[in-house]
Amino acid sequence: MKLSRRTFLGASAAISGATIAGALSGRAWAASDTIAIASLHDLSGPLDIYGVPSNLCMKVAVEEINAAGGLLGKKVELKVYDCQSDINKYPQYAQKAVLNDRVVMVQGALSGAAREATRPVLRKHKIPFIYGSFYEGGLCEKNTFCVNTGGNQQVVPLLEWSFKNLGKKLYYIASDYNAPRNFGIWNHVMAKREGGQVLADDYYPLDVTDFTAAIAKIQAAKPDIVHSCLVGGPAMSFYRQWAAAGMLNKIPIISIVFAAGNEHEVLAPEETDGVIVAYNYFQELDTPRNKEFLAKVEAVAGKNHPYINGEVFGGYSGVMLWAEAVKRAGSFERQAVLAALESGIRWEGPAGVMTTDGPTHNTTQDVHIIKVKNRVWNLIEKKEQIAPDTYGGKCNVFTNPNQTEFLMPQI
Amino acid sequence: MLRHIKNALFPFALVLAAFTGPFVLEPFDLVNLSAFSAMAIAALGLAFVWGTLGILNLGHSVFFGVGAYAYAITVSTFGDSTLAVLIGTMLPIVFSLVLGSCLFFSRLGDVYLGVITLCVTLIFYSFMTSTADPWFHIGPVPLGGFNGITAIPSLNVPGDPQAFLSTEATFSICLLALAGAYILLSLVRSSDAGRIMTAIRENELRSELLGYDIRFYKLLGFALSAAIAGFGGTLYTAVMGFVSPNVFDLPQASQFVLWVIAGGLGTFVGPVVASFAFQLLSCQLGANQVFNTELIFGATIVLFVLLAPQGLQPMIVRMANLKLTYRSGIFRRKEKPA
Amino acid sequence: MDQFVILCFAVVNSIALLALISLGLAVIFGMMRVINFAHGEFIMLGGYATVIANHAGVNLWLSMFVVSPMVVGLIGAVAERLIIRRLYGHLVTTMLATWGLSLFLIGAVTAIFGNTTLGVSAPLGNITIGAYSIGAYQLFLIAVTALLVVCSLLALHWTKYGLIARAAMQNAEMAATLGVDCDRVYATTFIIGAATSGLAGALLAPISGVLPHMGAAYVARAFVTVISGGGALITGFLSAATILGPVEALLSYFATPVVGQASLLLLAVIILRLFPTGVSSLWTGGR
Repeated sequence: MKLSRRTFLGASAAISGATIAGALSGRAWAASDTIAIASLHDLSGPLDIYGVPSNLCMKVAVEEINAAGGLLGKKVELKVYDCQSDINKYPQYAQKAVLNDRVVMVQGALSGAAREATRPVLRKHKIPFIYGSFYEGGLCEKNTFCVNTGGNQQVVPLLEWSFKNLGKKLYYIASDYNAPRNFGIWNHVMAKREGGQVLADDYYPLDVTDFTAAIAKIQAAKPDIVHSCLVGGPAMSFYRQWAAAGMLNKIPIISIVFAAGNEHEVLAPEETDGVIVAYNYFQELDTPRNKEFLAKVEAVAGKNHPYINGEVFGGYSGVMLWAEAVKRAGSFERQAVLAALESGIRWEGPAGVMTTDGPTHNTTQDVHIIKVKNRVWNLIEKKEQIAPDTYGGKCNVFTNPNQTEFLMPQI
Repeated sequence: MLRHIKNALFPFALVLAAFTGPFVLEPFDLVNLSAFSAMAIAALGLAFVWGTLGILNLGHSVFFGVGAYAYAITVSTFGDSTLAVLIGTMLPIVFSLVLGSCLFFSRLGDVYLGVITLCVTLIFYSFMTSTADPWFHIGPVPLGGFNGITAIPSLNVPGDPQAFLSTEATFSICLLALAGAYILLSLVRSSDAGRIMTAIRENELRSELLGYDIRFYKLLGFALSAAIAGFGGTLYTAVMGFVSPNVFDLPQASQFVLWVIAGGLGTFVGPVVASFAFQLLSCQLGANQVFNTELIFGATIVLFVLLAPQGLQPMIVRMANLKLTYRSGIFRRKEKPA
Repeated sequence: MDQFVILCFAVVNSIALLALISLGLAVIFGMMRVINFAHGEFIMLGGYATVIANHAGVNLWLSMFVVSPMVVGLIGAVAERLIIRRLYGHLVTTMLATWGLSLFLIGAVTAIFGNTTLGVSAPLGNITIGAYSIGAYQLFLIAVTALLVVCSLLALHWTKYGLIARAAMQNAEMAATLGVDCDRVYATTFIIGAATSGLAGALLAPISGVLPHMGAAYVARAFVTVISGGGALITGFLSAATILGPVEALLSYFATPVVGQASLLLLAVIILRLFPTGVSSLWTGGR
């Protein structure tokens, strides 16, 4: 662990301000009979497709907690902020939530860029950050707890299954930003482990809508599997043009992000049937707990609620795990709640058993490999209780409590 | 004399706010207003180059972004924010001189010039977005791709990187900087060079025939606006603590243009007020969920344009003048044919 | 050999797409010098009109070629009557107004239809060329774009309205003196431009994600293409698309897509540096 001067400076500078803020917030929630948590999501703008359902899931969780009598005798109040798909709004609202609303926990900031902009602010003000989206993995920070899957929990099972069942030659096509590039490294890690081969890593800018050249390139390479990590509205054109070229039934597509933006609904069934993905949760999951959960979602958002996918499910599981930790800690205090989370909170929810992992600040959980048919997802295989990767022991907040930088997988 | 007093009123109000703000405002509002003033400084740069010199620069954000990245990289490497602010202001000047000499010497004008600068800022956006690989780094600082550079140290006491300025001090500095930028640009505008720049805006050919080297003056004004934008970028990054490629993207680029239009092209107070008003509105809309934020924001802008097609400042000035001349009411004017 | 054919297809396709998304903007910008920030949203509305009409049971081709242009033309007419008309002569203000309009339209569509709408898929199947296969719909798209461009050229140069429009464009004052009602010409132009953008959106609907924010991906490119084209209304942006499209397509194929995109922008900069009023100044004498 290299403790750079930068991190040290950041940390030490924060202390004075944070102590005041902490003292103030302590006073605020000791007196009132509600306790506030903040939801930081894009509720408008191009990313609202992720933000709106995730915010909904947080709302469902809060209502469930309040219906059961609240937490430690207090009602939980959800402060909702619409970051308007503008990354600059995240640090602004995070500060506002902390300083004005005196929240004890912040969740949201789903996109990688939003998370990176929000994390330092909450670290500075010493307010725990629960991160609910699936992500590339390798975030092992004291102040942050990741409740969704990290890279190894999603890519590894999906690629294991694909190399075994679909073929050995993989073609990677992805949107050009940080997370897909990190997932790209995982491809190589897995190819090496499973004896597969990565034919190409193609990264496309986020606003490309014409994939003719991309499809020609894939056709020339003749892979067994296409692994797509294309994200966002413009990239949906890829699936359309892929199907229009008659490729859908020739080469299978696997993905870890498909359906997070409701691609399976926007696109027609004849363009998506057969796409295989891996998530901790999907709405069609056939368990009694999931039925209960969906009934609650319907109670809040009506029959036509947005599809709940693995990405936005973190909005629910995050708040529920945090609530369990508060109960165990008997306090809303940051140290106590983090200690409780680190002690391993076991919670059985709609997606099966989830257990928070102390050293990595990530969460052990089940992952489902699923396939879409006529806009409905069907289970292919369930991988039980996958633990977060330790990055060769480097991902450990007990031994590296000041770590804030991301860890990268090593090929 | 009266005009001078009138002109001094606005920076005086800013200075007053800079010193009273910390005593009356919440810490969150201080941070927010610091960020807003940094943006307003950058908008002033565009208000100058477009309003005074007549150069429609659609890619003004490129200088803002270069300043922001320069600050981020310098302060993360050396720790001293004063040096970083300096470099963040100088680098855009150098860049604007290179770009400007390429543009003005080919006698590009009008919207064509605007599109070139827009392309330049979009190229920066594409490039910065594709730098996620740790291979892209300057000194010890990785450029960070779409996520950008985070945990950037804020302003410190000059020469002492350990002594960070408080939120209150940062707020005062940002507002004073805004007042300073306003005064500087006002002085330039009313100087001899500024008058020539206005002449160039009004009629390029005539000014040239009068013997002025218009390319030189254009370059001068362009570099000044770039410096102001870069300076705004450094302050913004210092306040926000992070920078991402979004500083180069189309929404950011159009924002500056729109604030200047909304404030009133050719004025300085208007764009500053408009930039504060727009940012405040967007911030309030997001914090108080009523209805779709974009719908309300869009409708407000359209309504505003219809009510004040000349922009904020000209409208207020006109209303004030009307009140003086027709005391009985401004509505009488409608009877006159346009 | 088949690789060569497929590359030719990619190049032509890329030219056609640029031309298709620029046509509506070229009409509005070229005639009225209005920078229409809501151009992308007109494309989006065209896409929505097609998708929704199709799901309501209207034949796909009918919803593409009739419903979409009509709906978007109508919305354009309303916008022109309520907003743009009041701002003739304040071209700078129009930028702000159309930006507001663009946000308003996105917000309205999200409020009415939500952020997820069931899409339609591309008809016509596919064609196999050696080891490659391409969507027949994309070939159809290229043909329609070519037809659209030819029609607009003919309309502009061979009809009475085209003559009046060109006159109003070249010298509004003189045209007005000769008895042309310029405001009406502008209104008609704006509606035609909006309808054309709507048609473009409709044609793109089966091969792109129809979402409230889809316009953002098109507006910058369309704008760059139209401006680097310069003063000549149709031939201008067409020649710009012919230069920019192949560079992007080929570099995306042989280098990386980022390089392709950046070179499109870089090339536009170089074009404007060499021809300060657009490519078409080569044959129009730099108007």
